Amino acid sequence: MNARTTSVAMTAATADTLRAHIDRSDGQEDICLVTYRPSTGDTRTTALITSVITPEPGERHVHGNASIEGDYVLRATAVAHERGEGLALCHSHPSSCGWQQMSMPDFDAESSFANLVREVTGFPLVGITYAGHDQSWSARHWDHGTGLDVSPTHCDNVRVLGDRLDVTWNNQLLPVPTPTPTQRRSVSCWGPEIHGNLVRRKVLVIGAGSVGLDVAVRLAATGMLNVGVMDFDSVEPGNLDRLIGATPADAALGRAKTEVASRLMHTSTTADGATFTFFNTSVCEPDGIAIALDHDVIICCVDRPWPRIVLNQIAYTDLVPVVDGGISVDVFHDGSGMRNATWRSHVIRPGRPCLVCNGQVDLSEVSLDIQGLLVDPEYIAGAGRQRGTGQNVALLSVSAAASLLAQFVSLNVAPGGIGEPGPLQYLLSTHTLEHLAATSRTNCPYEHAEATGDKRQALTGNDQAAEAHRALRAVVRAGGLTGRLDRFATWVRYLVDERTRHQLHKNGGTRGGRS
Amino acid sequence: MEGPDGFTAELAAYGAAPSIIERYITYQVEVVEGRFAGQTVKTAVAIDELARWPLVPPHWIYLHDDVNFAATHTQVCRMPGWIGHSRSIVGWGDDPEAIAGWVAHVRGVIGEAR
Repeated sequence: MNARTTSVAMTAATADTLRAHIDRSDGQEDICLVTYRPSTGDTRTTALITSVITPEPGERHVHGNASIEGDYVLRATAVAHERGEGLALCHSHPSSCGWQQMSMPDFDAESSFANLVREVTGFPLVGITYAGHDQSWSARHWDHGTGLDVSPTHCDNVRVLGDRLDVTWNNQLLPVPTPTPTQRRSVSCWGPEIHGNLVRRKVLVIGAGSVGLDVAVRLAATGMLNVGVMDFDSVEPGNLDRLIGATPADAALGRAKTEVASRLMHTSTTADGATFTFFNTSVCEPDGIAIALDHDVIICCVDRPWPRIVLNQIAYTDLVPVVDGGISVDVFHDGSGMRNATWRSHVIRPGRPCLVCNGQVDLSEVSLDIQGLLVDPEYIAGAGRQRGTGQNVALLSVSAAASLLAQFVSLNVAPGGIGEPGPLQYLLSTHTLEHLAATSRTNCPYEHAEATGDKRQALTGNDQAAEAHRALRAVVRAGGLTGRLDRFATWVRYLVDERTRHQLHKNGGTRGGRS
Repeated sequence: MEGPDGFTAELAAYGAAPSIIERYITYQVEVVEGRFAGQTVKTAVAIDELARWPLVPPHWIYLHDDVNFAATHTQVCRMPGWIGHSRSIVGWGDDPEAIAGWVAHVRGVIGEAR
């Protein structure tokens, strides 16, 4: 039994190219070879389709069914080997719909080439079937056995990424969930078929702060079956005005934000048998990116440039769409009021400008973040930089979360047949929603690395911030009751101080505040 | 090629004469303005900052301690007689050749030296 799961992903443009060869107007089956690069996650291996190698005259025969000559396989295998890629064999079932089981001739054809292809390319043969009636895909990786005694691992799903994410599910491995009575109104928004497809998508929320926590809880309430939440941070008193559902006790005990997310998601879920997984890691660490690659969609709710650029990379290299965004509150310098607030949202994927091209990440800041300089008081003072004041308020962070979730719905459900809308910006002062005209730079190295998979350049490393937070929590835990009591005492002192400040303010006192 | 090896190879192809000293790659830049206009100035980058080259640019520019600026934030360098200067590069990734963009940035920084 193979514990790893498998999948296939391709861009909508690649799917169109492939369909042009195998979706015949005369209704006959056809066959085609394609190359792929592997994308290896923690538990899932995805074959990322990179190119279509069409047959030369005489290399394949169409006769109701379709067959290919060994020369075609050898030629395509040599091309794949030269590129350091794997090979996939794709054939069509023109009048079928949904996930396709393998017929005996299909099994014989693929198994007869499986060993040869793996020997030459070093990667297992991938078999793909296209069902023409509803344009669905199914696939398997021939990763078991040797010689003629080979067998496939059937994929969980096949993902086609364009302005929407089309997913065909292997219903035998991941059955369509029965909607629960509590989901009646959610299901009625888009119907049971779309609901069943949507809720099986593995979603990873990066960052469980004011925006991410809200996003995660709403995914749970909608009935999503597989949601991961990644955050290494702990709850602190200063978070409580925005972390809806976090308690003073969470702050006093320095609980991980993922613990709060777990509690809230498990109490909010409407799904039977949902699997929520929590990771106290950073996506900037090798373990973190491997976890990210196990997911179908990522929602990025962090503002540090390093994790955002890591996610920006895998949106292209590994075809995992990233819904990104955030909120910025603009205040008068003298602290006398708010000038404006804006929240942005965008889906990062092939066909859309990356986070650098759309002006959301400055690569020079990534370098500073990697070195821990963005939170280094000595560097901030020496370089004459402004320390981030991080204005945010629960009244508005919900709008940022809503904007991200609206992009998520457009990407996954495509209301009215329209997918994600491109970069959006909402200006609070004038209540204006803008479609931002961001364009890709000609030489953007991120966008040019499409479907690179495991050959992507490593952007990960030791995330000092993550290590520091985990170490601090470990110290508190190692301190057992004493450590927790210490934290609780700190919290009580904080409360007393706050109350004292409040009393002084009410009484017209001037200690540390405006009178 | 990527990382420090890619950076070194690109510098060599660019004619900047790179060499490795301790954990730094030194190379030379022809300066076109400022105090060093018309001269070739030696500069360096820490190898540790090049792990993600060219997707993420380095930050610190290392120069001999006789290259001074009106305003700068510095850090120590393990090479005696050298100092690291904090300089962020604007618009990274716009250039067709990453190394040309980097050298132009360094040339501009040295052009501001007193």
